[in-house]
Amino acid sequence: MDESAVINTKSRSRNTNWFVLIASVFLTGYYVLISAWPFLYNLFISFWKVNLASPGIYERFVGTAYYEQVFTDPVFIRSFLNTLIYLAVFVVVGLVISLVLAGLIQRTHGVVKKVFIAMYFAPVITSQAATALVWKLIYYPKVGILATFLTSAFGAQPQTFLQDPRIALFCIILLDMWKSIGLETVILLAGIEEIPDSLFEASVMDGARPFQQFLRITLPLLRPQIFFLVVIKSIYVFKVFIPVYMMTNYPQGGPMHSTQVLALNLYQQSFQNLRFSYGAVVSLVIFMLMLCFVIMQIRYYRSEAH
Amino acid sequence: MMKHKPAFHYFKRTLLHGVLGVGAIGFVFPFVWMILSSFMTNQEITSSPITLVPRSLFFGNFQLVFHEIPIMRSWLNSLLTAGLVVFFVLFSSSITGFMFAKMRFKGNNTLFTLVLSSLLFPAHVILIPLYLLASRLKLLDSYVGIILPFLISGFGVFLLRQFIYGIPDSLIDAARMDGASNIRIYMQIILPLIRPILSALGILIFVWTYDELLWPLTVINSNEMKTIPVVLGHFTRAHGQYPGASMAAAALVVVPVIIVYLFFQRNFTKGMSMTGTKY
Amino acid sequence: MSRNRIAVIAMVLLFAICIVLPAQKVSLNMWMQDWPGGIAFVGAFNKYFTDKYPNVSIEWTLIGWSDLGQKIIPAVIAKEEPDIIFGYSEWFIGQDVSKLFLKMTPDAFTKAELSKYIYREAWDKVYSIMGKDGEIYGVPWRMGPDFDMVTVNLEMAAKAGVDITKVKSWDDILAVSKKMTQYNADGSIKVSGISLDNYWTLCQGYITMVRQLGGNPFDAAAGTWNFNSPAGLKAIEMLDRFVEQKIWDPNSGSALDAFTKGLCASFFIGPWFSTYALGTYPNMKIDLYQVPAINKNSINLIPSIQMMAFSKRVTGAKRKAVLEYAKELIGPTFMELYAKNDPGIGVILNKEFVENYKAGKYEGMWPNKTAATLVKRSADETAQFIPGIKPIPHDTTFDQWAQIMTPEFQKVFIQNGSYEAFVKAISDGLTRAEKEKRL
Repeated sequence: MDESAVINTKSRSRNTNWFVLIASVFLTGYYVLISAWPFLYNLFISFWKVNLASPGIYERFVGTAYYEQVFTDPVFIRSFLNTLIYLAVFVVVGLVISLVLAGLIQRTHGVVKKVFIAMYFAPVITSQAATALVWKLIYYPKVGILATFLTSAFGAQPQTFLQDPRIALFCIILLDMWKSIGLETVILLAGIEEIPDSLFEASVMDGARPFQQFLRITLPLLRPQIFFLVVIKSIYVFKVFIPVYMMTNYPQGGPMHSTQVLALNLYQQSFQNLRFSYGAVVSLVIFMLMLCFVIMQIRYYRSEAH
Repeated sequence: MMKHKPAFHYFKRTLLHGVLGVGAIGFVFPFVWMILSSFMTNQEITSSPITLVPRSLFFGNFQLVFHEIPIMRSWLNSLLTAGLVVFFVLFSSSITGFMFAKMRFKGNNTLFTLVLSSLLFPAHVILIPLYLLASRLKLLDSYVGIILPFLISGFGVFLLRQFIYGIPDSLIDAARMDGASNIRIYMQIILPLIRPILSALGILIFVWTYDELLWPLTVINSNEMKTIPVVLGHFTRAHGQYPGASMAAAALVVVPVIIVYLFFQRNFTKGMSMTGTKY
Repeated sequence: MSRNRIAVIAMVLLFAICIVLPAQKVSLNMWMQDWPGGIAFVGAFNKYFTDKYPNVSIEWTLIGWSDLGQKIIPAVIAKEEPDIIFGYSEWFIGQDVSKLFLKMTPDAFTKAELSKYIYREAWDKVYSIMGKDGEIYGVPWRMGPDFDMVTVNLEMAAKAGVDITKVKSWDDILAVSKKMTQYNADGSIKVSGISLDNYWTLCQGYITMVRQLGGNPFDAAAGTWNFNSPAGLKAIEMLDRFVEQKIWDPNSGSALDAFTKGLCASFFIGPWFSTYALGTYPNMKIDLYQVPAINKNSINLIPSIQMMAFSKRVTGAKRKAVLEYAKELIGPTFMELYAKNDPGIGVILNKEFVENYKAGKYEGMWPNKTAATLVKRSADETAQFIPGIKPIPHDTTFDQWAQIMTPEFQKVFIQNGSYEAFVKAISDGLTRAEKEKRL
């Protein structure tokens, strides 16, 4: 290399160093502000009693007392289980439906296709708070529109939906799926369309039927998208709050704790009951769960890829 | 190629469209219902048997909405704050995405993982500490206070890094050979190439910020600064008494977004589809 | 006069003007609950106050009830609270109010002045939440005993031939509600005679019933709750009768909802919700009847006390203005403005007002018959409720009670759960919550 190239390399890397330095400082600073410090703060108050009457509001060390409280609280246990159910149904069922939809829409063309995509995607961009209100009315017990529809179309008993402890949680999950299926379908659709036609043509030579094509060709090639969606959706579920909060009556999480989820429990304890330490423990649990889950997903994905 | 009669094709196509169509109508129906209900009186909405179409256009719900909640001002607040957040996020995500994807430095992966882990914190976790901080900095009840927690999005950084990975190194190296600084490279090479993903990310961030409830609820005290979800909360508690008004409020919030969406629909979905690229 | 003297006098005058004038203007800010009745009467009072003290101006921010409740304490911690805070005592159960708010006695009013104003029996309760070490830290003016009254749809009552003035015992409540129940052809309930579906209210009501039946559910020394007693079991059995005798359909939705939609004929809830219903559905004819004490044993739990508190960070002219405001609050003018603008008052703490009312001083103030009725009911309720107040020194909040007890109630009413399971579950749940507060 001649001299100018050497000089160029040096100034390039110096320029890069500055760039990286400044950007990293901002990034780390912001990260500390928004994530690290609140995390440590929560960790701190999970071991330390918060009492508004004492100076500085931090009273004394209580060890694992709050942890015991939380883990033996039947409401917390129920919210934990409900969150897991939510996770399973929302992620798996939602994904299956999106896959089917993506597969079907892929076979349409032109204007019809655009119209379908538009219609399925519409719920994604609307406000969750507003649509929760609309669905709350749709689920109006016994005489509401969905109840009437089910009774007249399928002769079912008039349902009470959000007031029925057996199905309330699933009603809320349904709303959430309605809202996100459009997005998943679009992402999956893009993935399907990237698959080269030659693969399909080759399989047809071998006598493969559409369904087999789907299973053997499309699905494996959609792994990146599916992985991405599973992770994003899981992270969302552990934090889910607005639909449950807006669709259940006071005290939220009813009836009989059937719709109680971790984030709602956190909110109620921290903000309604002002039990910040209890809330801190719950938030740490949420964090650990999400962390484990995501790590598991990444490991699984990486191992499968080889 | 299997041989099928044209009629069979036609049948298959109709079946396909039929199935998809029923689903699509089901998906869109809540919006239709929302608009219809916003024009019905409270009695009509909750009467049985069900009223599908209002007997006449009842404007009382809208009057109640405009009277009870400062909807116009809240709209502006929501648009403004969401817009500001989108701008910051796009900027920060693309710059840092560029840095993580194309620059080699120690701690690249560590820092990246750290930033990603910020996604693991639910809003409630950061609420109290952040509130205390914002109040000490006198940022309560201000636009700056509202947008503070959203300026850098782990999701955005992740997406942009993935996308920028895909940009050929040769382009960048060529520019470096010509002595371009990183900022120049960012502005002239990277930015134009990431337009589609930026618009997709922008839309998602806009929608998510617009929808934020917890943080604005905590940080805002005065009526003039309220955002839409906060203001809609007024109707959840009174929901039973004012079903018509809550539908009217929901309609006012949702319809403009849908109209904008219908116009820019092609860009939306095209950009959206770029979010799931390879890893 | 020598020129020097004139100069000195002029300077002193100028000096005095410079100090006094700027110090005159005081601007107070306030957080007020966002509800039409409150906006009316507090607005009227603020105007009265600023007319009387023209150098003071008051600016308020309207916030919804539950948001307001959650904002106050974080704001105090962050030193961001407003000068005047409108609120309810249940938000401060278990808190040390001397650390939260401005002390009222003796600077705003002395204890002697206060005792002229609040009924002695109510004082214990007010003091136990808003007081510390003999001093009081807020100004209360009414209590809202939600379980003390039943609001009735008069049209349905008339159609069923029911006279609600004759209700003198719980059996009467059952009988009267049964008459107002309407059934479908298949025997299921079409319109519930009465609705219990306001669990916030019901939790407090249940505990009151247990005490009226002679039970003593809270052990203050140990901090434990125990409902596993004959009284505890009897109380839940009494409530369950409404379901057993097919008077109430526990799946008919929240009480206020059902009432305004004509799905129930009456519900356990006091005056302030009835005015809310009146405001939204002015065409409904509504009246109230008192819930009789069981075995005439009038022990009452402390309900929510409506009150204002003040920021302890105010100094100088602001502090003076705030103390003056608090002093004005305890006079009868405030209650008069309240009653005029929002007649569904509840239990009134202001002795002077009630005595004036009984002496006929406010004859003709409410030309609207419904309003006049509501005020009369409030006065009657005051007379019945106040003597029976015996507070329990619990640290758990009403929210926690609702969160813990509601699902158990639902198990009994909807799933036919056993009473023993109910009392055990709520005893455990409440005790654990109480222990956490005492950690």
